[in-house]
Amino acid sequence: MLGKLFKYEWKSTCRVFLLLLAAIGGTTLLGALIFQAPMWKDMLGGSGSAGETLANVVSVLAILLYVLLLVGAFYAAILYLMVRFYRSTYKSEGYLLHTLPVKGYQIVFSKIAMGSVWVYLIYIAMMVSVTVFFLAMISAFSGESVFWLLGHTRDFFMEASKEMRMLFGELPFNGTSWLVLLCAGLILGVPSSLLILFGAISLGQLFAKNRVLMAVVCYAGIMIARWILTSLLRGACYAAAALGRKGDLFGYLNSSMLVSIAIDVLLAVGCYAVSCHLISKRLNLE
Amino acid sequence: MSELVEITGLTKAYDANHIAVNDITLTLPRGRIIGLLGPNGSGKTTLIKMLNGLLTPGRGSIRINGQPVGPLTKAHVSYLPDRTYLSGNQKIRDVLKYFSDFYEDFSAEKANALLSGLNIDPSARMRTLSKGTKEKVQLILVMSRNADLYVLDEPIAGVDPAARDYILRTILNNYNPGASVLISTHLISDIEQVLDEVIFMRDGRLLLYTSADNIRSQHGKSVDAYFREVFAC
Repeated sequence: MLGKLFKYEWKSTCRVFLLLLAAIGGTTLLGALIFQAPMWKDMLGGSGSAGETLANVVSVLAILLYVLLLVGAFYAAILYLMVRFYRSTYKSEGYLLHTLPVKGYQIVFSKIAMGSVWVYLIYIAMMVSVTVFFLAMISAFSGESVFWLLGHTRDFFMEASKEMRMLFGELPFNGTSWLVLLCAGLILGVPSSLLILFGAISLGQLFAKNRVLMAVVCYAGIMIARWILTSLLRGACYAAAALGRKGDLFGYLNSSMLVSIAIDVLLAVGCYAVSCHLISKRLNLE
Repeated sequence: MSELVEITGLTKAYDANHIAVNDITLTLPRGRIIGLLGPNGSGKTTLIKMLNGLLTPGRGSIRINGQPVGPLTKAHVSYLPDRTYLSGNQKIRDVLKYFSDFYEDFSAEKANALLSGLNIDPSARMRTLSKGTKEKVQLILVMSRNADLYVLDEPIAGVDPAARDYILRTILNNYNPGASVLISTHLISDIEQVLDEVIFMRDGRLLLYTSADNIRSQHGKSVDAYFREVFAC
């Protein structure tokens, strides 16, 4: 049954997410084309400071618009997942979902898994988009073609990785661990964030009235608790590092990041359990 | 074989002042068409939602085929809610596939035959259908299952008399004879002739559970007339 839930969750969300991915593609193309426009070359080639100033203004505006569109697409994806979870689980469509012969945890898991896959795809699309956008910008400034730059991207990354290794070697803390933790945080952050959001929506259903508002209040409560817990534990990490025998204050960076990830994972597991419990044992559809 | 549905001390309160279902104890046998009758706000829909696991009882228990309400009972209960639960973007044929995938007792052939009998195009999207046609599609989905219990919440409310006839015909011709059908309605005269048994509910309480014939012979009245007498304002 879990496989079937995956299949139908994927099919139901496919259209909106393909549109969002297409929107990111369109934004990237638009952003890249701005830097390839003849107007741009005229501005850069313009005599005196007026041309340069205009180029700077346009580039800042273009970057701003591009970032806004990209961030907008990301938040649209999260908003859509929230609204879809609420509507398909706790509104009219829930009458079908909850009369299927499936277990509550399967419903939550399928929604989290498929939602996470889509958000990862949005992440990847955004990373590709940013790379293309900046290649187009560098191309406009350097005068080299985008294709030439693409050909040298590998060299760039090799050089960057060499320099990063050197930097990490010189850092007074374990830079590789920090990078691994950063990646782990980014990867785990997607399902964790969705679980916390869905958990808050589920908690909101415990109230007889104003369930959406109560879901927002529950989310705010969870985030405040998370902030307090993270601050306390980070403070403890800092104190431990400051008082430690090595006096390794930079080690604090790794331990504090580990603390953040651990708290997020714990909260996510708690919210998953809450959602499953509420759907299986405390469901009260309006 | 045990009773199909066993309800014991079932209570559901939405808040301290509003007890929707109040201490109901009831057993429903197999192979009967049962009318769940009562005025608005008597607790019919709340009881039905608890039978389908959409509401959690405050107290008491429900067992269907000896099992507490859950995935095992949902595989054998076919439920028609009092609202449209299908997404407007879905095509009818996609919904048929959905039901085929999740319900082992669903017959796509039967559903297609019923759709074709009504000239409903399976490639149509739900949002393009009229309210009456949407209700017919949902009824076809529900009655194309070979379930043990069919729970129909107001299946004939808000449709024209011709559509009512079709809906009643579809229910009678398609339910599994070994199963029971629980129909909630307040349009009693329209369904009276098909009912074997009736349940009267008032203010969340069970007022009466008897056979339709019993009402006619004991009170010398139709179920509809007796209902009007009992619930006279």
